[in-house]
Amino acid sequence: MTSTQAEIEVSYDVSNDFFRLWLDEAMHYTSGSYLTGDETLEQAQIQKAEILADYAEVTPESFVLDIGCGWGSNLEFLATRRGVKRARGITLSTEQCEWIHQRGVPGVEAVVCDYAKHEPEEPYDALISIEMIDHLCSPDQATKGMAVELYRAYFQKTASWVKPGACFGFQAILRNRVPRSRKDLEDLAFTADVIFPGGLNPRLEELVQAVNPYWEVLELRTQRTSYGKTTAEWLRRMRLHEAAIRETFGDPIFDDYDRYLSTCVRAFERHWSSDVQMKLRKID
Amino acid sequence: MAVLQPASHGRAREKEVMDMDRAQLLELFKKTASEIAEKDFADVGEDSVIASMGVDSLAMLEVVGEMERELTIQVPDDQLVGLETVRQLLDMLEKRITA
Ligand SMILES: C[S@@+](CC[C@H](N)C(=O)[O-])C[C@H]1O[C@@H](n2cnc3c(N)ncnc32)[C@H](O)[C@@H]1O
Repeated sequence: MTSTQAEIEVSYDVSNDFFRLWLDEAMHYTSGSYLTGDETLEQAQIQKAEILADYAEVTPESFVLDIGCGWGSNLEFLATRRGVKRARGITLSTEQCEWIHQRGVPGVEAVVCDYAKHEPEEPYDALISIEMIDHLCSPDQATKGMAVELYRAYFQKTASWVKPGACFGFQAILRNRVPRSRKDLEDLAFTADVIFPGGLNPRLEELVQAVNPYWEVLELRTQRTSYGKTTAEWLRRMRLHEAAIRETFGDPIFDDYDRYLSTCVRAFERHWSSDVQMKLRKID
Repeated sequence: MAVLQPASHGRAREKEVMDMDRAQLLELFKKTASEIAEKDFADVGEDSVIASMGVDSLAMLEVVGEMERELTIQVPDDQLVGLETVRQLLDMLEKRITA
């Protein structure tokens, strides 16, 4: 693991109330899936959760693990919309975990745990993980050529938790083309250092390499423009609350997140970043 | 001025670019790098090590971006890894020009 607990807390423990002001109601902090382009953010988030639950072949009887479950938005979707009776999430953030327990959705359970230390008491039927893998390799480790090995360790570990033939609905933010201007490079570096310390988005080809020999890629779809729309909507909603955010959380928080989200919008528009969803099946 | 446009797919590369020889490519690199790094690179040759020219990695990407525009080429990012000398950079650019 490279994003340490302290680094994770920088990213996610600013304050639950801050994120509530601009994320959708269920608090998905990842790309939604816009299929027509006319949906609301809320609908796009539900569509994302549907795609991944279908990829994971979730049924009401499935024992499901969500790796890096955030504020439990996907767990809640599984329990309330798919009738899943046992949906468990793991996260490194204590604030997120407490939040999930307070919501008290029947069938949903969350644990603060590093994925690398997780040992389930019985195998899962299905896995889902939404944009957590970008915490597993730091920029320094990537420079040293360690990315594929770190991702592979994750895919090996996760494959050891499931029943034969189980499926994994996987989503990751990607890096693609490196910008060529200093200002753009500095904005991206700012996002990495200030908002998500220790993190780095994988490249698509690294992931395709790393799933082998543990998982077979059955389906793969990218959704760069969906992430552009998601981040543009987050930015729009955050700006609506500018005065309140400045007053309650301070100017640096507003300014940092404004810069971060604006950089994201440009990153998806200009192909610096993208997003991928994969349906993986365990190779037995 | 076509050379200022980003490389566009399907457009024939300018004949001047296709005909550019190695010495001209080196000159273009020196001119671009000295504008971006604001340094004099008169003594730089193909064996010069880029890092020891005082060109940091951000400036290096800017130089590549500017040369991509000038040469109407697009360099895949994986080819930017491990470039240490000017010669390695020019070899890589030459391959993209003729690709
Ligand atoms: C970008 S958030 C995504 C949250 C959620 N999946 C969603 O869609 O909103 C990344 C999540 O991964 C968790 N995480 C990061 N590294 C982890 C690790 N090593 N083990 C478990 N969870 C981790 C963080 O705590 C956070 O909840």
